[in-house]
Amino acid sequence: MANDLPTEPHDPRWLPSRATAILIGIGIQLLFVAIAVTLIVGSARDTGPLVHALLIPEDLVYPDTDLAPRAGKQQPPIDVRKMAVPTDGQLEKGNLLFAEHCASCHGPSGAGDGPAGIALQPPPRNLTSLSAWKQGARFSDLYRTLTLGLPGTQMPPFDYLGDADRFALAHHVAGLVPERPADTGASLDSLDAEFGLSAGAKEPNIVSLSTAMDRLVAEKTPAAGALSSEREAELSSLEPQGTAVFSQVVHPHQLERVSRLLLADASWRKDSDRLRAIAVDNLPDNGFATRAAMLSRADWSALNRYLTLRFEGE
Amino acid sequence: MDLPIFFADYFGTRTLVGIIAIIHVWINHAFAVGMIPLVVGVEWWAHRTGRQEWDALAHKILGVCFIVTTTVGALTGVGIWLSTALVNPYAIGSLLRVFYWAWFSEWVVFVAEVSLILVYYLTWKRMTGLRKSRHIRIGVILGLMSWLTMAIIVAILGFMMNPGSWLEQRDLLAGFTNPIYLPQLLFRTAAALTMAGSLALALSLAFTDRDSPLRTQAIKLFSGWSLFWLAPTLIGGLAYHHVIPQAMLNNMPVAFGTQAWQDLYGQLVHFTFLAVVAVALCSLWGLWQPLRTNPLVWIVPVLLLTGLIGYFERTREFIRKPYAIGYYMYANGIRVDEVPYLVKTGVLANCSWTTHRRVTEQNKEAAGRDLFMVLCSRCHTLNGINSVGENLAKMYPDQSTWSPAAIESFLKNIHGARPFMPPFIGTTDERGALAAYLATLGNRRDIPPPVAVAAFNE
Repeated sequence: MANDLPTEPHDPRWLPSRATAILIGIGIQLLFVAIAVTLIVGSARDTGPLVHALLIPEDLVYPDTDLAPRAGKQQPPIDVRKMAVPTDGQLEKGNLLFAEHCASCHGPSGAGDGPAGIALQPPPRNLTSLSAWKQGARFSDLYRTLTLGLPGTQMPPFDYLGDADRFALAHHVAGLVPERPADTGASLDSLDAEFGLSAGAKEPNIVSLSTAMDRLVAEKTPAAGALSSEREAELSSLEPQGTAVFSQVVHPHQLERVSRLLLADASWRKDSDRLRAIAVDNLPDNGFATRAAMLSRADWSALNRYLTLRFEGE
Repeated sequence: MDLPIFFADYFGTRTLVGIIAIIHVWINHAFAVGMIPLVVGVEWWAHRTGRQEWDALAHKILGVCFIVTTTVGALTGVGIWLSTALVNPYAIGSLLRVFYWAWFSEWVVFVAEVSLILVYYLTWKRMTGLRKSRHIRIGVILGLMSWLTMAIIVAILGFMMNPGSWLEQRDLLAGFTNPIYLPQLLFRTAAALTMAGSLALALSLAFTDRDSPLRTQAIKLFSGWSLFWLAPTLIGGLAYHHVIPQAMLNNMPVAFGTQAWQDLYGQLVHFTFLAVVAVALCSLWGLWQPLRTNPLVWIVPVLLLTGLIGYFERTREFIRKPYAIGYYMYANGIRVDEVPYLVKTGVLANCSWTTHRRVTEQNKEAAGRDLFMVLCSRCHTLNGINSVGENLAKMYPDQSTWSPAAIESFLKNIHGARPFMPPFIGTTDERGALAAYLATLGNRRDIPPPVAVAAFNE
């Protein structure tokens, strides 16, 4: 076929002259130089450490110095009806707290013209006017808003300030427009009931940093389904082979998933083939390690005996 | 840690991967990526000028490339994935997750490359005359596909040194455009073209008669080609060197000379430059005096470039230690972000294929051996290349004094003492167990015979 086609000794089309070829060569070299220079100029060498200090296990060990744990104190009960009557001390404190916590948005005089409030949507309320207070304008309403914040706006809850401080602030804000709706005995009682004020507040306990870290780790690595070490030792002496198989196919961080899976379906308890079906189905997303796919029949019955003991009565 | 552990004593798992991979790089760069453009260029030039003898020479050189790339080249290419998947399945798994679509594309491009080299070589003598232009076009596409297979893999290699913004963004594009990628691609492209020139020169000696005008011209052309691409190779190398993280450059002396000869780093760098200069001088000589030279001289650049690129691969693989994937996964397959968890819960408790699940007083040394398999055996052997016993003997020459306590205090600060080693990962009990096991290696010269796959031994 190919031999039937006419052949030509050479193709007479364009061929670069020596000068053109040299120019093309220089062009290619310059192109490489240009790319390399762009890459060098455009990139900075990474000068960070090879392994970040905090990722070296030695640095993961908790420090010796730590916070001392302290039990939270019970605060004395608060009489709301008494608190609703402003005292000079409260007003003075409220004035200071307002300048510290509120004036940045609501303005020094409470007119809603603070520098940090300019861009807020909705704008911070003008506390010197009585129109359209979303959660009511009574003294008890002010306390509620200070404690809970105002959903749908940038007004945050100031519950970290403590009850006495919030009452003082409420008095200061109430004093900006004295002619506001008055509280009734009933509305003060319902405030008391809502926040449990007459029962007195309980300060939270302070735990040590290492306890807090342990809790965090425990939360990140669910230990649900874990046994006490005594119970574990007992099981491993009762059923050593099953214990060995279990530790191969269920890693500690998967205990919770596997426990949930096995407790949801009791059919495996007398039937190791059924156990195998449950465990191998949907590997490894069900929590079992992929090694489960390679267990022998004897392994499965040992695992079944072990699990039956482990989940006894659950 | 849900997979069995492949362990090759004496030889070492990384030596296995290294030999397969370096052979593949030689073939890929010299015989495919660099050579195809050269062969197509010669074919085109011969076609335009009607020089049948040049057409025949290009065809013969292609014949060698065809046989080498489709046999040893293809086998080692597949071998890289089989061996690395066996040695460090976690690293390969992570790369697969990131480069999922690149992996797929690589396969498509590779199949296209192999198919096209079959077509290109086997139709050379049939597509003549008016069909010659079409044949040349097939060659151009083949050259492009050869380069593309390299361009995709180089992205993955760059990623393994420094994933760059992928560490925050975690998407394929960020991984592909890692900081190492383009400089390395530039370097490898130019290096492949240089290697192809020296190889074509050596091959043309076999296909031309002594003192024939064709041989003279071939020596001149291929010498010129090598010399032409040597400059971009050096420029690309400079750009590449510029983007390597500083902390990894600090590993250079050991990467170049191993721990035994790291003090000779300066001399070794000089030697490397001398080798490059020697390649340049050989090429210049070929342009100048193609006739008055013993043909054996033309083998020198081939050997030097082959050695240099092999040495480059070893260095590149080494300097990213302690990582398999920079800042993301340590060389032993443990991800950086799972370290706190493993320090808390222990390594053995999270392994499916070890004999011991936790460290007790009775099983300390045996559990330590399991830990060696999990944490150390990706790089170290027991007896052989880079064996732990040998390395410890350098630190504690009197083996009778080896104590678990001394070794454990080294393990505590292992990354600080040897920045290319990952920190010890595991509980303090596990660290003690590993130290206890390592101490036993020193007290007897007759270390028990290796078990090929020790982890299966249950």
